[in-house]
Amino acid sequence: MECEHRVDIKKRIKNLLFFHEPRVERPFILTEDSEAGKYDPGTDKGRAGPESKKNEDLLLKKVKKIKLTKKKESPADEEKSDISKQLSENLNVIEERFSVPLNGDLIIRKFDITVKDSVIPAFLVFFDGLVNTKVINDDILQPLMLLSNLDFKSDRDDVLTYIRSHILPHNQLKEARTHQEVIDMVFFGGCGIYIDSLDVAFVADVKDFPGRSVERPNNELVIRGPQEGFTECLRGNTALIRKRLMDQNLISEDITVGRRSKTPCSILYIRDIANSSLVAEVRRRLKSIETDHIMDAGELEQFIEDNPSLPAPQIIATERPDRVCAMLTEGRVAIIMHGSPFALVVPITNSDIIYSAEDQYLRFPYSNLLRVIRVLAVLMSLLLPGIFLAITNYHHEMIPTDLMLAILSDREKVPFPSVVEVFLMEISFELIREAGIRIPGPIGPTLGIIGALILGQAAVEANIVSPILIIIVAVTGLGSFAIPNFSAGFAFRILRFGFIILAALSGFLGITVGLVLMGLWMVNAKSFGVPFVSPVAPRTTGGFSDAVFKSPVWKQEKRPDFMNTKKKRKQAHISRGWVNRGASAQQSDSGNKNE
Amino acid sequence: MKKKTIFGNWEASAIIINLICTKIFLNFPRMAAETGGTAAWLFTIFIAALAFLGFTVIQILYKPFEGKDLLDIAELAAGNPGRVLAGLVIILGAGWCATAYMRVFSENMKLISLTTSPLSFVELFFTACLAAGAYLGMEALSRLHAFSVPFIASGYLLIMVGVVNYIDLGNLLPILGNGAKEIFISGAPKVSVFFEILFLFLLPPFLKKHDNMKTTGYWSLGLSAFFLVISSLVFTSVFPYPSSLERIIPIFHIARLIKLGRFFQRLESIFLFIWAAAALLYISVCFYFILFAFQKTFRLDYYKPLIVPFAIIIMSISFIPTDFSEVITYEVSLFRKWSWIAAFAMPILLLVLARLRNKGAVRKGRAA
Repeated sequence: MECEHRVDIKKRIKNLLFFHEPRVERPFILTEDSEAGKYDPGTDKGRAGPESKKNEDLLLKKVKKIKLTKKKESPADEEKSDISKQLSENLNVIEERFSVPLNGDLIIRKFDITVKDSVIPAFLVFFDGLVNTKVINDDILQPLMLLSNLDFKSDRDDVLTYIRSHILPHNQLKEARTHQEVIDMVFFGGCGIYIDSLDVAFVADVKDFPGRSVERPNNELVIRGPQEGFTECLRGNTALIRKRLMDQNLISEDITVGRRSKTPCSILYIRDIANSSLVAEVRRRLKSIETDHIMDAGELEQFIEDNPSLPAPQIIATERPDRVCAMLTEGRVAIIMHGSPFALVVPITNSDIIYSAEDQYLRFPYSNLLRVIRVLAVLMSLLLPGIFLAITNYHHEMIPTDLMLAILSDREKVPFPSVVEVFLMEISFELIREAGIRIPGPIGPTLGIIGALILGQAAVEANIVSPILIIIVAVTGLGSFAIPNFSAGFAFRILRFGFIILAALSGFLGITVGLVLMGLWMVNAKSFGVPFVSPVAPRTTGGFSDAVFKSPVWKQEKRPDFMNTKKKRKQAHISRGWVNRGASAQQSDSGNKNE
Repeated sequence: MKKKTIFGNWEASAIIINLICTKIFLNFPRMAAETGGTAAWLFTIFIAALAFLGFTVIQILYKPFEGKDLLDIAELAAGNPGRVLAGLVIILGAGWCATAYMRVFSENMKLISLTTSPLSFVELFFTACLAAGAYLGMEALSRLHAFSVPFIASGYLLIMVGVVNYIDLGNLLPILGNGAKEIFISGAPKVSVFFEILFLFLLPPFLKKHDNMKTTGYWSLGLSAFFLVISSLVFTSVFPYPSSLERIIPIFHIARLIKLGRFFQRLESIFLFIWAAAALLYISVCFYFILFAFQKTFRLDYYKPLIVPFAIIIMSISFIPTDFSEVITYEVSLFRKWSWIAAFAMPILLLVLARLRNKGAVRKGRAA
């Protein structure tokens, strides 16, 4: 063990001192859509890339061939069945795989079906608590046990077809050819039905998870706009999106993540808008995750983001279905994970993290005012304590004489240098914030009062900090609360400490160096192949209608260029047809045709 | 496989504009006043016109060499020795710009706000930035320029507008300042103020098309000329000629004059932001071009291992001059007098030679 450790240290020193060939990296860059990346959930061929234009046609032909041959194949050839025709064997497998009798909540219900004057033994398997037992009783057990011997006028030779077509009235019934398929479905609220003499099993979706109902979003509250938020239920969440976006091209692809947890996820996109290579990249990243368990979208985000060391989030986590819908219509891709009330949306740019869902619902002058305030909030959250330090330590001449005298008289009794003062107050503020979140609900407001009034007042009276610093820290805190994105708030809080140190070291020069370094870091970052500071750096055409200031809704005619969507235009050139009396209908039509 | 970096006209123009115009914050207005006297603005227009002329000749000659940088052309013109020679000239030019500006900006910072800090401490900040910029490469640098140059330009224009009530057009008289001979003959070599246009000829592999290079060149020269003319015009019209020659940091002195009511009287510290940002970007890009030229001249696979040693070398060289005024003397009387040879004459010569050799090769091919 010690030897291994020593080798490791040697390797690290060697790596540090000597040059090594850099790893060959091929980062994903979102470019114009290629045919090779077209919708094909079975394969990852969408990632063929733009470099081999010649190969694209060949690939397309191959993909088409595969699709054609797949159609000809019978379902039996697709997957080899491991389900036995002997029911007892299947029962043994299920009992072994589900660790019966250790698992107390697993229910195995044995019963007989009477078909064509013969009795066929069968059993059901499901988890108590995950399913709706009434549905099982009414739609599965009752028909199989009581109605199966009714006189149906049909060919009864094929028991499988007979049961599927005539006996089981349940609306979501699948045929499973492997035990694993049944087990996966049972874990996701399904009910497995094994019947003797059949080498397939039926799986009925009877899920009824315990969980909360649709409520108002907790973190993204708006005054104008829908008041529904996601819950922890995958299908409920996809339904909330479908409810708003009744687009026949809205695709919800299923994928499981986690080797053991097998957490169901859905990739949502609009097929004829979203860039195929982007969809393929999302699919590729999700499929490549090799971990046992994954519990929340927050974990999933960390597995798939481009640049883990960048302080700013590169994926939007939102609990608002309407925001996801709006982003899907821009050509983005959403990922919804079972068990998480947050949907992840990719790719994003820096403007997405400081703009709120409400911006779109408000008239453009109002939302622009809010945007200016938020940009100010970001600047204050990031730079205000640093600027205070720089001015008081290095650039006194900036402060008008009266104000300087006031500050100096306040600071006269404070024994600490201003940098210590700032750090003391910032750390105290962070403590209050953290304690406020962790503390039980009813005591929360009390803590706020203690923190804001007693602590601040007492600190000033005890001459530990100056009153102006209390104002600075309070305004900085307000600034960080005004940032709509929770993760971005963290990013600015972390960076603020860096700016405080730089300002303490060299005033405005330090702050400028910090801004340049942060700028380099940000412009170099990408979110799923889209430069993070688009459309400003690199400058792209379009996308400006909502990038910095919002233009009126009817003027937002094109989708952002950096999304490289399949359809660039999202509304007609004259979207308010009524402004052209008489010619309104014609204009609207021609606008759509231009697409 | 190396990642191919491509960027647009806007990014390239932002880089060149910042490279040419950063000297406004340093000593350009004073240098223009020294040469042209009260006609500093006329002198600036004249050298800008010369730069336009030089660039027009170069871009016409450049047409058949789409996507090739100056080092490729040097190789076509004179083989390996040509490439090495041109590479060394570029490295020396960029090296001077990086070291001189690092020293001068650090000295100025020390003079204005960091009076008690040692020079090496101030230079460390510049070194950190240039190393980070070079590490992240041209793509990141170009994007940062595209993002920040508009802010720097707006800040600069605000300063110019802020002193509008101090402008006295009488200070611009006599109209021909130090005389036509001084401006148009002795002043002509000062076209070296536009030396940094040389770096545009290293950008064609990033810009791909000749038209992009042409557009970038004209736009960046045009906007740079505009900013330079404004700076010399405002400087000479605000400060009378004799006192303008005493200003060490011209734009800083202009910014000190701004007064907005009784409360906002000392806004020059805000000027530090744009000044420092322009300098940091300038030095980072120059440093990147040193590494780029070195890599290409000596056909190295990677430039990243050179970052730390070269950063240390640049910082060390910047300490050699005894004081700030020595650097300025070299900059004005030597570099900005003769560097036009590297920026305009050398590319023209190399392009002509490359064209001749190209034609020769085509003829030989036909004969064969």
